[in-house]
Amino acid sequence: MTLLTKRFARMSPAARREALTFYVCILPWLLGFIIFVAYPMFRSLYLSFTNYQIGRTPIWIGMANFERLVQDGNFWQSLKVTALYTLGSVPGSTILAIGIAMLLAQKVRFVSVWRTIYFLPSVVSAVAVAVLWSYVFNPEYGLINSLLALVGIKGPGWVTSEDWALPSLIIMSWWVIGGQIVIYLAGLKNIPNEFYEVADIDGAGPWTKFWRITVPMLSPTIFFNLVIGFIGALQVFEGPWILSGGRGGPNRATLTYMMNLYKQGFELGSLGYASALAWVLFVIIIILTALIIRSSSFWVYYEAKR
Amino acid sequence: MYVHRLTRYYLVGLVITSLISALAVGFFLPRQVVAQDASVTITLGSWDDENGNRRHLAAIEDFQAEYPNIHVEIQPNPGGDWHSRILTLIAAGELPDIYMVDSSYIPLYVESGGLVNLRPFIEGENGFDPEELFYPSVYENGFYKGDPYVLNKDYSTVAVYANRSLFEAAGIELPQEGWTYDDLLDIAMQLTVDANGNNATSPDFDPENIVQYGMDHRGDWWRGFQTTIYSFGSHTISEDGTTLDGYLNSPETIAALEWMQDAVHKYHVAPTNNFILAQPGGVMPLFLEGQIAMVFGMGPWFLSMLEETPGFEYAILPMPHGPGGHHGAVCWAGFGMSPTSEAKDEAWLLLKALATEIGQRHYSEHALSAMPAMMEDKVDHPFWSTFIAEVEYLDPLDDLRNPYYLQCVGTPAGQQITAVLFGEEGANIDAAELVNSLLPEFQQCMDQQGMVESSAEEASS
Repeated sequence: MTLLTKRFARMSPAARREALTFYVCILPWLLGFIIFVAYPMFRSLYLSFTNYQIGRTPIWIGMANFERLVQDGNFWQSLKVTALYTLGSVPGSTILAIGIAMLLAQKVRFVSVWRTIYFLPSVVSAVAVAVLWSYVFNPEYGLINSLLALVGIKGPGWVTSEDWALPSLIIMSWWVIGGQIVIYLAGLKNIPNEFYEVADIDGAGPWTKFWRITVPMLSPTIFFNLVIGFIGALQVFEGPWILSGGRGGPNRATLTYMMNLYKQGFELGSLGYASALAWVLFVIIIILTALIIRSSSFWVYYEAKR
Repeated sequence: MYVHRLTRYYLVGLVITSLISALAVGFFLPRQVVAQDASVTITLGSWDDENGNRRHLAAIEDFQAEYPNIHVEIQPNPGGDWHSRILTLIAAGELPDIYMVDSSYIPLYVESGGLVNLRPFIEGENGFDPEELFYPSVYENGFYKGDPYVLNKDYSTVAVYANRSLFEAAGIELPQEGWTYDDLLDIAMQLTVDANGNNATSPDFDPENIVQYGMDHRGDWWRGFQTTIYSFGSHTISEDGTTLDGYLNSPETIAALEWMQDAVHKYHVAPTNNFILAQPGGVMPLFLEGQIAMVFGMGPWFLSMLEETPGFEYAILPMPHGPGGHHGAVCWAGFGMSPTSEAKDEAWLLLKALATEIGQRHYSEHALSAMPAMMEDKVDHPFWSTFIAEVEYLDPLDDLRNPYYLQCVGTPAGQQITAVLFGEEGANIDAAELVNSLLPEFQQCMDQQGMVESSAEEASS
């Protein structure tokens, strides 16, 4: 008998029934996880070591796919674009979300209306958002350049310019921060008011209260949003795809990692190579997440630990 | 007891949910509509929108009248990424029996096992003589490595849409067959006008205030520019599809790129690629508004726009001759057969019908047909005649020489060569240096597909 069956045999009938109930209850989720998550993951890990062209049988080639990506210019370009996008998108959206959440935490009239307005962009489809921004960023007729022209400034080419295409994407990413705002709002509500009252008594100014009370108390929420934000930013796809017409241009300026992966898999049919790319990204995300978690002991304040 | 009851309720709920889900899946699964007396049902995959599918339906109706025992069901996919869908269906083994194919993808689909070699069918009992039916240069665009895999539905040749009114106002005669790229530049300079009414030949011409351009260019669309490259006397890849060096960077290819680069930056007769990209509707609205006098049009697709603009006078001009002569590239779509079709004989009958009279009488209403017989009444038409005449000058497409040409060369070259050279920052870029800097990467992309395949062959041997 195995260890599990031995343990099972030693359990009382009531405990056995309870254990069985547990497994029956989680069975649908477990099956779904195995079929739709675990199996595809491990299958793609296997495929990353094969030459698997669509329509053919996968053939084991060892590390050839990983050696290939080291020499692949598109791999390095997409990694660079994605890294720059992440560095611009995540901190920027964090700062904006905290700022807006602090404004929405004020006791003002119609605050629920304001909260709804700021959350609305988050419920609009990413495709619709990207199409909308493609009009806003239009260098000839777009809203931004039209407003700049009113004050005599010739706006940049935005998505048609190699230098401005990526900043355009970053700016677009700052628009859909409604989800983060809601989370920060909840975090702000959890900060005891007494802390601010004591600070007021001690003569602390607004900035001091912000840096010494708000930020530390909000740090667990910031930590959570940072981890989620980085994971999401490293996998960005819809916005760049729509804005660049699926080409990653101009001149690969918006070729993100996921776009390159999609092209390899579904335009070139190189599923083995695309699987290798997917696993490299997975490792990068794991390492980055581990680094953020490791760093959290230096800057994340958990009140319960006191 | 309580746990027992909960478990019972839960299990009952789970079973009921599973049954409902199974019923729902069965209800919503696509069902094949089988006519009562149909012995075979075959599927036709189409990327067309509603208008395009109307023509398919009309052709299918005529086909079914002739073959009442074969029922055809259309599987439309309008607006979606057709190529990715086809690759996915190839992987799943669920291709439609017959499906639409862009000629650029023929080599990749063949290498992926997604297309049937049609030679046995063409030369078989229910075949035909292609030389009697089709324009050879059009028919051969469905070939890969010497065998036919796709039969043509329709295609586009390149011609120049010209604003006749602007020509008349400038006192310029419409060019005829035999005109050159030098003539094109000369005419474009006369038709490029600034806000003060000076054209580009005038010493007072202000290139910062152009209100009317003489011509456009194909921007980042490499296929559109291939016509110019062929006319300058080169192709961009060797005939065996393995080598770019000496072709993509040949003196003739560089000369073609430099010609257009000068047209944009030195002579200012064409707008920058950035300007074109910024236009929501592309260049045709600018053409109709008189802001661009000549537009390289890939096909007759803008006829309806012209007809919807009353009073607009236009002419369709032949493509100019380059130093290498008069050559053209084609955009081409057709029908291929899936290797997984379980009714290949019936599928062949449909494919043949769509590519020949039954289908072509419907498709040729709005497009060019590979059958000269379908084009007879358009040969002298002021709009269609030039596009038809361009068939004579078609070159075999470079895309058909390598399964990965489009993805490794065509699309990147448009993004990183023509878009850059004809873009705002392209004035001082050395075309030869740019191409030579990118060529190794394009070659490596094609080779890497082959390298991995070689590794696989070594591993399996």
